[in-house]
Amino acid sequence: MAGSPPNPLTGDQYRQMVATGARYVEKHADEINALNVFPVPDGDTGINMLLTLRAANESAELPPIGTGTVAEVSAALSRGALLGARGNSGVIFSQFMKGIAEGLAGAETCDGADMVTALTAAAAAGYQAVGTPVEGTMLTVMRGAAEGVAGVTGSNAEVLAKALDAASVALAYTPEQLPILKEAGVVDAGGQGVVAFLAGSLAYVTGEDVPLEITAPLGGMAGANVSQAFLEHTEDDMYGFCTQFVVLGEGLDVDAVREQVGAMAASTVVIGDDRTVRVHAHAENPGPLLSLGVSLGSVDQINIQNMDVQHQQFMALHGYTQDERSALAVVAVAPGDGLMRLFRDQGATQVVGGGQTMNPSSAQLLDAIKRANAGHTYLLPNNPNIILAANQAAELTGDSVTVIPSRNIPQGIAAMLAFNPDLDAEANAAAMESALTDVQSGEVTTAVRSTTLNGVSIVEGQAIALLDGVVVAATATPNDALIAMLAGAELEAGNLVTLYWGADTPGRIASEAAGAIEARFPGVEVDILEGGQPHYTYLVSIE
Amino acid sequence: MSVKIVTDSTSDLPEEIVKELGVTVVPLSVFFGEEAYKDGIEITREEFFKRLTSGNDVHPHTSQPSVEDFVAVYKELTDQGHEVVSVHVSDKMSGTMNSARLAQAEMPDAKMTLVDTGLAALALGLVVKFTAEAAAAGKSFEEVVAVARETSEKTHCYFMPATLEFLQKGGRIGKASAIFGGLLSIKPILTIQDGEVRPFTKVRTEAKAVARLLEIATAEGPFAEVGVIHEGEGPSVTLLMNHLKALSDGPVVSGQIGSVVGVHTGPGVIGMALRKA
Repeated sequence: MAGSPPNPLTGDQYRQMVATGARYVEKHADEINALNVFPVPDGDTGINMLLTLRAANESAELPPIGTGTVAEVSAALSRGALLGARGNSGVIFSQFMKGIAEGLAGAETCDGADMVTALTAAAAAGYQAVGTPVEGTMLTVMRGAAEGVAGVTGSNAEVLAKALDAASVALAYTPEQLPILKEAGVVDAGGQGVVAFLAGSLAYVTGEDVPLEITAPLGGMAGANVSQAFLEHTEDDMYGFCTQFVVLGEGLDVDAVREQVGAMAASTVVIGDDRTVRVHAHAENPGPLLSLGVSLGSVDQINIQNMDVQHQQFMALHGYTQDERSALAVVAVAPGDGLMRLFRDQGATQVVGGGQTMNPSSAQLLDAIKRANAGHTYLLPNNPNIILAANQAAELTGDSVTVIPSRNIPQGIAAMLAFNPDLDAEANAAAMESALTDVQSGEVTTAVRSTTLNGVSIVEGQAIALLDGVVVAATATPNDALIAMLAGAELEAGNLVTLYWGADTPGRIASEAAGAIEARFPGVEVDILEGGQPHYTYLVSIE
Repeated sequence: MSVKIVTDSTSDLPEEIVKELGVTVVPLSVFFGEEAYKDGIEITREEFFKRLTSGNDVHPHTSQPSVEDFVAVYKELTDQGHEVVSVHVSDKMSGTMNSARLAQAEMPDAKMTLVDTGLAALALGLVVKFTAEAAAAGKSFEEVVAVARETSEKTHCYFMPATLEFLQKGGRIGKASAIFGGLLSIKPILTIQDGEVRPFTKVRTEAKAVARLLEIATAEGPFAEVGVIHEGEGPSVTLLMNHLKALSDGPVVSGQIGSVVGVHTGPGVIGMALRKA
C-alpha cells in the first residue's frame, strides 16, 4: 500500500478494504477452523466465513470498478454475502454486512464517523438475525467492536484500531461467557473470524500489516482438549439435518419467516430483506422447512447436511466412540476433585460429586447410571448416608444395578481396584464386596462442638480422628490426631497408609504428616494424594 | 525317528528339564543399545539383571529369533529324520511365531507343526514340558500336536510385576494399559488371556498381592502341574511355592525369568503358572 492512508474511503477503496479483510480471514482460515467448537463441531468456521466474504466480493450487483458510491458498493457486497453465506458463522457475518450497508446507506464516501455508524449497525443486525442470541459468540465480539468505537472521532484508521482492540478483548472474554469454550480451551471461532476481518480492514486503511495472534491450539483441531462434557452439551443440537436455503420473492416478511422457522427447528438463523430470505436451521426432517420456503417464493441454494454423520466423524476424530454400550460399568460417589479423578483413573465410568454433607439424590444416581450406559452397573456410594439413595436407584432400574455398600472412600477405592471388566457380573460383585473388608478407614476433621465420645473428651475446634467410624483421638493439631489414630491401628511393616488431603488442608501439613508417619512407624509405606474433599483434613486408608 | 519339541527362550524352563526332555530352545535376543546377546547363551540371567538394575545402561529391548535360527534347528532335526512340534510364545506378544512360520515355509517337505500357545514365560514352559513328556512317551506326531494345543487352553498364569516401569517401556501390555496413568500407587495382578497381557485385579500392597495370588490358586485348583514365576528369591516366593505344592501332585517347577521376559516384567516379578488336567 503506497502513499497516504485513504480517508475517507471511496467506493472502490471500501471494496478493497473488505477484500483485504477477506484475505486476513483466508490467511488464518485453518486456525479459525481449529477453534470451531460451537455450536456445531464441524470445524469449518474459517472456511465458511471466507466463502461468505468471497461471495460478497464477487457479488453480481457490484458496480464496475471506478464507479459506485460507498453506499452502492456496500449494498452490493451485503447482497452477495447474503446469497453466498455458508454455515452459521457465514450467515451471521452476512448479517453484519447487511447492517454495515444499512449504516452506510446514502453515503458517497466513508469517513471515521461513517465507520462508527456502520459498525454499530452491524452489531445490531447480528443480534436481530439470530433466534436466540448466545453471548460468547461472534455476536458478542461484534458488539464489543461497536461499543469500543462508540463516541470515537477520527479517521477510519483510528476507528478501526479501536474496533480491533475492543473486539480482541471481547474475544478473549468469550470462554468466560460460554463454559464449553473454556472446557475446550478455545476462544469463539466466529469471533476470531470477526477479529481477523477487522485486522485486515485496519491493515488496508493504514497501509501496514497488522499482526494477528491466534491464541488457541494452533496447527490442529481444537478437539485435543474437548471433553466429554462438551460433547454432552452439544449432543442435543447435533441431531438431524443442517438445512440451509434461500427464498427469493417479492414482499417477503423476514420476521414472520423467522418466527415460523423457529417453531419448526433448532439453531435457527433467518435473515434477509423483502426480496431474499436466507434460512439456516437444524431439523430432524428438512421437508417441512423446504415446503415452507416453496410456499413463500422460489427456493434456491438448497444445502442439506446430515449432522448425525458429522457428529460421528467428530466423535471418531477425537477418539470417542458413539454410544458404545459396555457390558459393565462402575458409578462412584466422591467428594472433591482429587477423589473424583482417582475414581475415574481407576476405571469408574461416571463419578457423582457428593459425600458426607452433599448427598446426591436417587435421581442424580439414576442419571449417572443411565449415562454410564452399561448392561450392568456397580454403584459405589462411599458413604453410609448415600447407601439408601443408592439402593433406591438400584431398585428403580430392576436388576441391572448392584450396590456395593462402600461406607467410605478407602473402601470405595479398594472395591474399584477389584473391578475387572473382563470378568462376569457376579464375579465382579463378589470381588468388589470382598475388597470392602481389605481396608481400614480413618478420618481427621475439626470438632464443631465440645462433647465426650467413646471416652474421648473433645473441645470445640480441636482436631479429632476417627478409626472405622469411631472417635479415637482429640488433639490440638490434625497431624497429632492422625498419628494417635494410626497408633491404635496396629500398623506393621509392609502396611500402606494413604492420606487423601482435603480442600482446606495446606499441602505442607500433609507432607509433614507423611514424614511423621514414616518416622513413627518404620517399614510402613505412605502415599499422599490430593483428595480435595471439604471438611476433612485427611481421609485415611490403612491396609 | 521320533517327535522333537522346539520352543523359544521365553519359556523359562529350568535347564535340567530342557536337557532331560531333549527340547531345543531357540533363543530370542536382548539388546542393550547396539549390543546384542542371545538369551541364556550369551548373557546369563544374573548378568542381565545386574545390568538392568545398575541404572547405567540404556533400557534394553528384545528381538525375535531370525528365520535362519529356526531353519537351522528345523533342518538339523528333520535331517535326522525327526518330526518337529514347535511350541511358542503368543503371536500377539512377539514376532517369534512369524520367524518360525517363515522358516517352515522355507522347508515345505519337513513334517512339522507350529503351535501358538497364546502364553509366555513359565506358562509356555509348562505347555512345552507336558508336550515333550507326551513325545517322550512315544505318542504320535498328531497326538503330540493335539496335546500342545489342548494344554495351551488349560494353562493359565497370574503375575505381579514389582514395578510397572518395565511393562510400560516394553509396550507388551495389551489391554493392561489401563493400569497406567493414575496417581494412586497400585500393585496389579496381571494375567494372560487370548494371547495378551490383561489386568486381573489391582491391590495396593505387595503383601496383599501375594495373598491374592494364593486365593486365586486355591479357587482354581487343584492342578496337574504348577510353577512359580519369579526373579530372585524371598519370603514371598517361598510362601507361594509352599502354597502351590498342596494344590498339585508333582513338584513345583521353578521358572526363574530369563532376560527376554525380564526386559518386559522387570526385576522382582512374582507369579504362578497353573496347568489344569
